[in-house]
Amino acid sequence: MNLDRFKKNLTMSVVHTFLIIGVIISMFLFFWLVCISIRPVKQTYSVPITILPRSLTTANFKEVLFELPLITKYYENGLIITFTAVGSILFISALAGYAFARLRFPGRDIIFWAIIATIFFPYTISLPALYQLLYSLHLTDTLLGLILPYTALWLRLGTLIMRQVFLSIPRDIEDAAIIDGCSRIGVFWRILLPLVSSGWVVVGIFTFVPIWGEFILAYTITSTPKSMPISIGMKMLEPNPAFGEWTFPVATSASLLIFIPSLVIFVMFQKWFTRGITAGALKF
Amino acid sequence: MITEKLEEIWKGRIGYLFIAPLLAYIGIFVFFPVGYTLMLSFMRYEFLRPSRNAFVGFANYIEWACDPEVWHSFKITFYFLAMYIPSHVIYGLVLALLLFKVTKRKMSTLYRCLLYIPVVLPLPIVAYAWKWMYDPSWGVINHLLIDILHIPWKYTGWLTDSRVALPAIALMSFWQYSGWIMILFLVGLNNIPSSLYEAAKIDGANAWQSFTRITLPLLKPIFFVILIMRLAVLGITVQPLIMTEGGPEKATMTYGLYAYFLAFRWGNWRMGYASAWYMMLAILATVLGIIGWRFLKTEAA
Repeated sequence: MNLDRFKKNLTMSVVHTFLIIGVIISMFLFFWLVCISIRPVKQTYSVPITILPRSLTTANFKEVLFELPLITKYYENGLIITFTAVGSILFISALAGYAFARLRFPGRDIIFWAIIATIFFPYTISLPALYQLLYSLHLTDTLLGLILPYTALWLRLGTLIMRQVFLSIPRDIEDAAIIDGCSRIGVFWRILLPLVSSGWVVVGIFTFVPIWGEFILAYTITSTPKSMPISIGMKMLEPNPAFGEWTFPVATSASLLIFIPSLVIFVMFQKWFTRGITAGALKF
Repeated sequence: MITEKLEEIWKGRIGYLFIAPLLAYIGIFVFFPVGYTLMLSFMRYEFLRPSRNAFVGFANYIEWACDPEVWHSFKITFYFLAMYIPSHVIYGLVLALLLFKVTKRKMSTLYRCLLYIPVVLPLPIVAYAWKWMYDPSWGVINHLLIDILHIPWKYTGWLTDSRVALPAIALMSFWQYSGWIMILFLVGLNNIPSSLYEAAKIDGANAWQSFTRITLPLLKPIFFVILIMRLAVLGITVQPLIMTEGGPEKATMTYGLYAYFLAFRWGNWRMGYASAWYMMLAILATVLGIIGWRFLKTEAA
């Protein structure tokens, strides 16, 4: 009896040990970025290297926020692009998800699966064509030139999830409303939309994360600070001690500031990440 | 017949109305570019010297088949996949199994969140941060390996040494996306009824047997999801672009990166030829997807 219990406790402590090692590995990048960003620049470039800071300072963050004029511009661009694209996705995917789940029209399933099938290809394959399209529309190097393709690219995932959400709502609710004299559009607007707010949370977080961190399309389309989002702006901050330009502490402070929106979203909605994967990825 | 069809379409008009915005977006920014890529792949198309643009039939595909860079970059891509995919799937599975053991404790949510955080971080910033960690003089990785863990590590120029540059990028991807695999497997593990394990225990199965006979077969759908979602890695471009730009000595010149440079960096931006590269990538991804699907399907049956 005692031996059994001892064995169980032993297993549990082994499990916890391994999980803690895993957490340390996952968190190490953060830990290092924080340690570099809160120490004076000189300490970073002095031998011997130490991981923990010997003294603290906020100078690096101040430099990023107040002395690098473009960083706030890049940040603003990134937020505008991301929020506009995610907002459009929420609206359009709710409409489309409802149609694919509930309405009957010829070609419905073919259209749906044709759209979904394209998710699995890397979108880089149509980059030259997309570049020319945006070029001929005079949209290269504009915010709109990023918002529109981002909306289109992540709309597919949104539609997939929203269709699933609408399918999970019992039909009786709608039927009852229609019998009471509510129109199709009225049903959608007044009854279904409030019920699918959970789906919106999932769509929101799963499109915010990749759009905020999108690189290759922004890198291709943008060429001046007026349209560059923060993921590209980071390139300007690359530390190059040889030229006495930006330094590790400044760059790490900036990258921590860029992590903040992702982390806020994650912490606020953490339980939805697991649910979203269940709803979106496993049931199609 | 036709009038019936038209009537059906007319009856479904609200449906079309609801999907109209979706169709507009997807049509313009997804389907049109794909079709246009196909067309470009049959053209000599140089963006910076448009006067010579013309249809050339299969010339781009013939050039592709004879181009030694194709095989070199394929080799690099597959080395990368061979290092990255199995390792992060196995590590993710191990984490999921460990988490499943403590699933009823309060700590499990905390573990799960902390292990998942790297997945939600913006990829380019993570790539830059790893680049700084790999820095041979001031980065933390050499410091950690040599000064703290006392490992006699020889390849200190992580991203400048052609022998370790590709593994270094694979390590970064492994670090970032294991948590995602973990969550998928955790969902799968939660869907396995515990009665199966109890029955196996009564029949005298040990832990290893119930893992290989129950857990793994029932996780098949998850493996399938991972396979499908990971097909996009065939076109990996961003990580090598940020961290090494394909160097040193083309040691990290993946297929996607080479095609990207063809279209947007080298010479007159040979978008036609690059489109042929991309079309072949799309065909390869489709073939691998179908093979994987067949394989997992027959195994499960």
